[in-house]
Amino acid sequence: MKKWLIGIAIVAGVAALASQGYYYALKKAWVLYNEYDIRSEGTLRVGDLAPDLELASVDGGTLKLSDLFKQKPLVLIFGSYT
Amino acid sequence: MAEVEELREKFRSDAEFAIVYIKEAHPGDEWQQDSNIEGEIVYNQPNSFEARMDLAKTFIDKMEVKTPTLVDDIQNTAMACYAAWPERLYVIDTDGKIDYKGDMGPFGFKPEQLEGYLEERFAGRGATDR
Repeated sequence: MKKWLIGIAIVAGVAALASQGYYYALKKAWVLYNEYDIRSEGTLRVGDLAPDLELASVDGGTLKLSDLFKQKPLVLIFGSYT
Repeated sequence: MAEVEELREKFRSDAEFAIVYIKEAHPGDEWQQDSNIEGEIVYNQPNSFEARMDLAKTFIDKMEVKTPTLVDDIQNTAMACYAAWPERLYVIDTDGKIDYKGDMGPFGFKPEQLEGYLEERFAGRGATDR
């Protein structure tokens, strides 16, 4: 009888720890998602005039997007390392 | 990124290609991802334009990027204008109008879809014509 009770106590303890760990992992993911997810569809549509921007080049100096699509269509790849 | 570089090689005589380096998606001090820890891509969110420029250069170095790269300002003007975070593809035509808008990254970031667009658009032009 005593062994049986100890067995139940151990199982319950492990289950409680596991569920708490799961809860914290979920909470962490959810909090980060809410704090940092800034995805948006924006208002630009195909056919709209593309906002012209002057941006710094890693090679030095600045470039205007409109200088890049003068001769040929311009493929823009937005992104970051991480 | 490798896929986009391949597309550039394939279509470089038909179109210009440029990367716009924007706000980090998953920096170490914000929304860290395990995959980035495994890949040792752990960098904090740049808090100045200079820091972003440095990280853009690191990215180019490590990923062996050959595509010309522009860097967004620290106010994230380009990111906001183009709803670009965390990553997105566009094609701007020579008349200044948007001709292709890729879906929202990361799940909508599809270089293969852009490839389909480019192939359709420049179909019939053999490599020797380019």
